[in-house]
Amino acid sequence: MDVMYYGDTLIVDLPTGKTEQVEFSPEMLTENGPGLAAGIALYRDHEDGDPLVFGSGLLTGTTAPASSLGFVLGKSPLSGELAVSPLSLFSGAEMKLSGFSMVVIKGDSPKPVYLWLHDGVADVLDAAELWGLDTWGTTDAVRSEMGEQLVQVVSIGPAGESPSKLSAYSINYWGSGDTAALGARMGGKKLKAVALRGLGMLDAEEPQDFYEGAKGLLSEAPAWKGFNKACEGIDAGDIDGWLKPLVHRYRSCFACPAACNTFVKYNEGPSVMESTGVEEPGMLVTGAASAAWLLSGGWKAEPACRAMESMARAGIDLIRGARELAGSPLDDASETEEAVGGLSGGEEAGWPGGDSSPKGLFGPWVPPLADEDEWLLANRIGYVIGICPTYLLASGMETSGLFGLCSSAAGVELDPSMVAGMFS
Amino acid sequence: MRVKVRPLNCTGCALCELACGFHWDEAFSLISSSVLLYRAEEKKDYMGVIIKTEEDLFLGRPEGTAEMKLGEIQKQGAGGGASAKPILIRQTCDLCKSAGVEPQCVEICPHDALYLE
Amino acid sequence: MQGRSRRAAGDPVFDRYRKVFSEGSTLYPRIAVYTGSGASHSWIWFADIFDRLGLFDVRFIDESSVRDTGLSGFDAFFIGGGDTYEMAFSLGEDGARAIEGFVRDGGFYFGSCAGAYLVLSGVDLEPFTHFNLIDGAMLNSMAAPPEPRCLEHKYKSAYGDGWVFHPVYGEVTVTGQHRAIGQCVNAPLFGGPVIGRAMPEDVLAEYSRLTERAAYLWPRREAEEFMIGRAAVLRSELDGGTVVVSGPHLEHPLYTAANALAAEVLTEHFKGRSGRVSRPSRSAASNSDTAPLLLEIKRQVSNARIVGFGLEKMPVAWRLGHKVWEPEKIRMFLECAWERLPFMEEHAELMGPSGGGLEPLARGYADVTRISKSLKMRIESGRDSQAEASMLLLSLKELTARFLSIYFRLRLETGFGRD
Repeated sequence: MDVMYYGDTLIVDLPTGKTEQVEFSPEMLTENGPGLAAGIALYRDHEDGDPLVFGSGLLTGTTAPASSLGFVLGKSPLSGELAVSPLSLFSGAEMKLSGFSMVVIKGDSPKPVYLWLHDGVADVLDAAELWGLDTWGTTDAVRSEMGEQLVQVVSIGPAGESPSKLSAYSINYWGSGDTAALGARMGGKKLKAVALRGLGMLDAEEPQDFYEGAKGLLSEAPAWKGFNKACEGIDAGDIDGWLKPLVHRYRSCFACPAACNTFVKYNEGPSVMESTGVEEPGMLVTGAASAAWLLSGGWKAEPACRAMESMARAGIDLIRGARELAGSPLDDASETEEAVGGLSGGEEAGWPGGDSSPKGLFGPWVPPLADEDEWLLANRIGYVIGICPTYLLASGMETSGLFGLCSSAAGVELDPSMVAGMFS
Repeated sequence: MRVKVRPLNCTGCALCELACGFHWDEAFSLISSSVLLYRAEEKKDYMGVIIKTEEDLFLGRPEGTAEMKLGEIQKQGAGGGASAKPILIRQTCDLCKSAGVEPQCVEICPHDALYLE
Repeated sequence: MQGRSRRAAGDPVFDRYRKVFSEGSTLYPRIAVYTGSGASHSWIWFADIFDRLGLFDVRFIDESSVRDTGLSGFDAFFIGGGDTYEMAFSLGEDGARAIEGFVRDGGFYFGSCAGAYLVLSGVDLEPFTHFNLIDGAMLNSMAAPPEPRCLEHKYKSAYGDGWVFHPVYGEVTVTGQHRAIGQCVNAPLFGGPVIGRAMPEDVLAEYSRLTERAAYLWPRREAEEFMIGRAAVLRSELDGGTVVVSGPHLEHPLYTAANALAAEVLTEHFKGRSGRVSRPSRSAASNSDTAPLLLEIKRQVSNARIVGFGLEKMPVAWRLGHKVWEPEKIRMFLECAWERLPFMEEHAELMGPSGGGLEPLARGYADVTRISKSLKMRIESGRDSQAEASMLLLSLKELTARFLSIYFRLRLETGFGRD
């Protein structure tokens, strides 16, 4: 019985459009470590194909608190080094359920394609009609083609197609924490999107122990709504207060007690709860850093949210884009769109008040809520076991309980030093 | 006694679906729970929770809640009628009595969006 | 196979019967399952039972097969739920004669729900006149049943000048003296008969309790007064054959004790018989071209499942004939194929030239995906979806029957009891 991962590792050869499935053995978990550690091992195995590796953490997709995290791993066009970006919202869980334990996408396609990964079936599909669409149009088109709105679509917009180093992949409509321009790697590969959906089940080795353990952790896990809690102690400003007049509802990523993501409405009243004829009433703000930059630059909330929408649509890194826009607040929607169109990508990612963006494998998607070592460890643990590092840091949750879950989930014994060792 | 929904408390984390799915299948999935998170209108942020029971559906829609008897809405719309076969792929809510525990969706919800009444 | 289905399939209650039908035994019935006009989705539950019992000589047949072949070549015939009227019309007098001849000649008939109504002597208006295999009346009929508390669309259907009605819908408990029942057995009742005027010796089980896992269309106390103590399962000998009818679905895959009761009566029928049962020959032809076809089927079944899953949350149902079909049933058919695909992939090389009929299946499932998407779009845009749903469900039923026939043939060819 497969535990916590099911399905093979998928190797996609974009130059030929062919796919191959390789057994994802339990040894992979013990020899290299799960999640990102396994992803890095696969990356090394296929490095000559300059791959992008899609995967998820050991606990992703379960009742473990904040077990939403998947990842995209590849060489960043910005640094030329290996970098990882998050699959958040429901995309990490859907990656886990796609029927592939990990996905290695090698080489460049001669023509635009997208990947449709569903229940252990991999389809490399023609993306000629998607090429040129923004991420909203792409998400709509893919979902319409598949006949299901719950398909998670990791796509690039025109920025990634060009490919601009300012680009980032977007998770559905809402941008992402990709600050390594892996969206540009997708564009270089002519990979317009990766669409994910699976109707399978995840088994734990000791299901009852796991479930009770996770429930115990959840009962102690702090819950909150909005960004402020996740930015406590850093100079991010009162993001929640700033957005408040526009707030429709708060949204969690998968299995997360914290609902950081904030849906704002500006094309209809934020208090309108019915499903009306307004098809695009607003934006799900998913990145605290981008909001913090625009707030710090003196932007009003509505034009700032419109700017974030424009960046998400274009497939632009919301953090670097917002940082560049921050100094020139705009009011008018058309001006905002024009300004987004004129972004140069000259700024580094990071947080207002911080000295610079963190370097290395992990980008500044996770706020600097701790010193660099602790921040790094939270990222490593998070991406290995599939728990949002922001939640780990902001909630103060002890990792020992989560490591206990890894044991009952898959018999994988972990501790912080072992995780750190996976990255040495 | 039944599970009811405070729809505006819900943040769409799907823990309720996972817990319910685990109750039935001892595995993690979103395909077999008696509590269903409706999240198909993502761009509109229109999200709700549905509880499937033997006799009705409890609908926790953002604009309000309703108990909809199965078969009742068959008279509305295009061939409409609520899904009714009680035990097919999705079990109906048994308040977790078959496992001898409190309703797991209520216990696990971090935002008190589900409650017993 | 995962979750509840896996647990149920691994229930040790089936071990005994698997032994009875295992290699070396002289018992190996050739089974026909009715999937023709009027059959709803519940016949696929029989496939689950047969898998669990290691009975792989199974064919899925329609009304013309029944009429034309008179069920010759089969030892057991199963009819599940559905639209009894349509079944009776479609099978007609010839079908009725064929079934009766089959039983009198030593065959085993098992009918649940619609398959039970069909052959009760007390169900005797047109078009049921010719179907009469076992003494018993349906007590759940009256001229003017009271208004239901819920599930109005499932409550009643016309019968003569009156109505057949269902006071409870869901899990019930049946009790009887038979050793396979033990103290009691739970099984779901989805519109099956409450039986009266049966020969006392024919009553295998009575309704003894109504559970909380049921919808009460009548107030619970009244439903209990009406049903408890009345016959739920009958068994009778007819010449050399056996007729078993059951109100509840003993074949429902989540009710393993009920499955065991069905298995027990089947086993008892064949015990001591010889001549009619035969062990099938194995004629596996090696073929390496089937893997791509199986992958295409997997692709399309997955695509259709995903659309079907989305359809489940839509507030629609369709009335086809006398039955209401909900969107969930679309995925039920698809799950039936999905769960069996890994076995077929594992033994793809044994599937004979052209995969033994896989190519039309692949095309069929591609059509199912296409129609499912179109159906969903119609519903989303508020247009009438009845015609498309009807086409989809009929096509799924037919495809599933063909799929299962290929699957069971492969099961036979890979040997007995092998997973």
